Amino acid sequence: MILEQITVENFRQFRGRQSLQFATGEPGKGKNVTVILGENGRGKTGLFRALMFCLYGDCSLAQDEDVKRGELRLVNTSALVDASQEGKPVHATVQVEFSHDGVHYDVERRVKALLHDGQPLEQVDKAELRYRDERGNTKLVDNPSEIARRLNGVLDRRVREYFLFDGEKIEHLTRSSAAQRIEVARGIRCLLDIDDMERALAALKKLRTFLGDELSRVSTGEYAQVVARLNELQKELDARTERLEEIDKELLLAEAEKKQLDDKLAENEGVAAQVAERKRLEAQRDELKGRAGELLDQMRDRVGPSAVLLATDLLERVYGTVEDKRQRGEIPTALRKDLIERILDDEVCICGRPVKPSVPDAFEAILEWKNKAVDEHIENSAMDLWRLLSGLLGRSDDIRVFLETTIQQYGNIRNSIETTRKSIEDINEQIGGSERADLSKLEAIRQGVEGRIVRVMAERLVVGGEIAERELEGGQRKARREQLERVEGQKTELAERVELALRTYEALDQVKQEFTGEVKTRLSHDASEVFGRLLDEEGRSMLRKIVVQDDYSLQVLDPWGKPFLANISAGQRQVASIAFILALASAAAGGEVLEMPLFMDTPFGKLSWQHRENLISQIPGAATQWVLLATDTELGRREASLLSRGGAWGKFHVLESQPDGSTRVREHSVSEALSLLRNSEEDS
Amino acid sequence: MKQSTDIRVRTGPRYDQLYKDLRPYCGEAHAVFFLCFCLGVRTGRRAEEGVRRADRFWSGTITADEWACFYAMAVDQKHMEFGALDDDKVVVRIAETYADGGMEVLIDELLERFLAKGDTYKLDTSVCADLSWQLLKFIPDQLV
Repeated sequence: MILEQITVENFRQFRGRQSLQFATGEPGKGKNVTVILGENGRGKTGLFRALMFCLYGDCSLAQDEDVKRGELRLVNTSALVDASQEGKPVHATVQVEFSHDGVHYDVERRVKALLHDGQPLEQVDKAELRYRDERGNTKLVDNPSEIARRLNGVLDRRVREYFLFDGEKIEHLTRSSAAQRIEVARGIRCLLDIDDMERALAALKKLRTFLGDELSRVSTGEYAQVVARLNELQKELDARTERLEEIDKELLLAEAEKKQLDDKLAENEGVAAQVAERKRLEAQRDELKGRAGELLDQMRDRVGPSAVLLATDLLERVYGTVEDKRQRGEIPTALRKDLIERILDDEVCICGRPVKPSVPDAFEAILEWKNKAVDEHIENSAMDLWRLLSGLLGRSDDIRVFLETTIQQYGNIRNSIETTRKSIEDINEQIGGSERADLSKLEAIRQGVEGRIVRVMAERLVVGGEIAERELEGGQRKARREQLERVEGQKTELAERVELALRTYEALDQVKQEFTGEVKTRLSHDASEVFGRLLDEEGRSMLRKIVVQDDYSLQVLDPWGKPFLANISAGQRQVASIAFILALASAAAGGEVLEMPLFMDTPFGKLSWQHRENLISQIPGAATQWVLLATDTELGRREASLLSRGGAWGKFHVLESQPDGSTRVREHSVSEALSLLRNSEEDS
Repeated sequence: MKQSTDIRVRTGPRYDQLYKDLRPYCGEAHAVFFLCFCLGVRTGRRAEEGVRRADRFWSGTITADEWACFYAMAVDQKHMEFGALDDDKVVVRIAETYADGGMEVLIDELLERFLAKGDTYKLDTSVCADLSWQLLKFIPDQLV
């Protein structure tokens, strides 16, 4: 999809009819960057909303999930009020023109609104799609489901939100939360397009359960026991996996409910400041908990290897002894034991002299050699041990430093969490103890929701552990089943058939796992490559790789392959997420540039200058179109100058505030941008 | 020093659940075993040889560093006789006695407050949130 133009009329902040053209040049060659500059509240996200409404009929975005149904209006409020004074309805219209695979599309969607008893009522009353076919004939489609089908073929609605990045959304991808896992998993599933395979697997799962029970029924002895336990484990695993999905949904809902309650509480001036402070503290606590969790993962993997310090005395003693022997030339000896034994057997030295008890000097000298000589493979083993111990002892200091810093770091985070928790509790008490009954009631409900979140998260940990336990046991039992099958050699015909069905499921599941795994590997590789290009120098020296993990969470590794996400800055988190999204887009296009616009809403806020510089120089070549929605504090002269020098900046629009509160889109030439923009913070 | 992959490494049957419970905080069974072995070595606490032990994991999961320590102990036990490196089964059997001894130390000095009430050794996961940290901290504490 290449966006050409969007026209809005009485939509959100935009009063009257206004159009905005996008730069449509070829990536890497032409001008494909459009900058839309506007202060907060001027309608940057409103434009994306218009796009989603027009293309998909969406009256709300994912970010509106906690906004009450009916509270979100698409029609410009002042136009609605003016029209209602004349007793007329008002129409909000969005028209989008774009091309895709050489076909030109023109979509128009309209919503009709009127004021009824002071309440605005909105209803979509028109949807039309026009496209020019290969013969140049224009076709009209006005059936909503046919419009949806055609547009879905251009940009699948399930992946559409991956092409709008707002700062918050970007960061979600590197946070180890339920929302993050759902987000990344959804992106990957959409990318893989594995819905059909998942349906087939669900059907096979039912069949497998039924047939598994059958197999257990017809089998005997240990084999029957193993199969029965495997069936049981599978059922337990299925139940727990389902529960995990439910838990993630419950968490999302509870978080949304909590936010709603916070918004209601914040409407009351008496507690608004405390609610805002609590929100800040909770965000800080969650961030700290995230970092603590990542450190705990690192520490879990280091407990075993670090324990070697406890055996240092033993290792030094053995190493010292082997080293002494090595220094004295006792190992490796130059004496071949097998050669000496042959001399003694033959009673003749290699020089031809006799070696027998009757020639005591020579005989005793050879016997002494024999006592000193060691079997060659034992000598090799001793040398191997010497090398291994040398390496281990050489790493002791690194292990000590790691222990010292990590233990200290975690301890500090733990203390900060405790301090934050206490501050939150104080605020809870202040709000809960309010004299106003409605506020204390709201607060009590909120405490209930908070308690639910804590319980569900604890359950998530337990269920995750139970799954890991069952997977481990399942692997062991499967190995045993296969062993028994090999030993017993034969099965009944029924058992063979049942087994075949079971294997079909396993094979299909294996195909899915491998396919998903390959895509994860490829995504990790591509994202790491983009990450390396987008990072600043400091980041490049510390961060090496992005990994999409088994639970679809993202991890960043340091140059030594150790998890490092806990230690990276908010800006680096944003860069990691952008790298992942670009990799996802590239994978979806089979390694080419995906014919899809990238919308980035206020993406520069937390980024260092070098990160901004890298994004500005890399993205125009990596995306078909880049639509950058920014405030003037994010996009200053310095950024604009760099963007301009890159040669890809084609369109520049400013969202200007009007006296009636509405927004007017004004196009400027790119060359005018520098005079309109402020100096960046670093310049001023 | 073959670093055999097909030996069943065994530990005291009463630690069965504990080995499972420690996985989320200390990693796979071989890592728990190694921690306990090193603790046994450090404190000189060693369980009896030849008592009944339960299969815990295959030796194929033991890392090269872990093997190096097990071999070092076997050589040390045999008065620096390098022939001890030749029989992995014996090496593992020696390591098992130290691992069981070390587990006793670990329970006495750290895990006790993380155990659920009852006759068997089982972690109370509701109090184990930062057990990985506690385990890691326990290592330098033992060196003092």
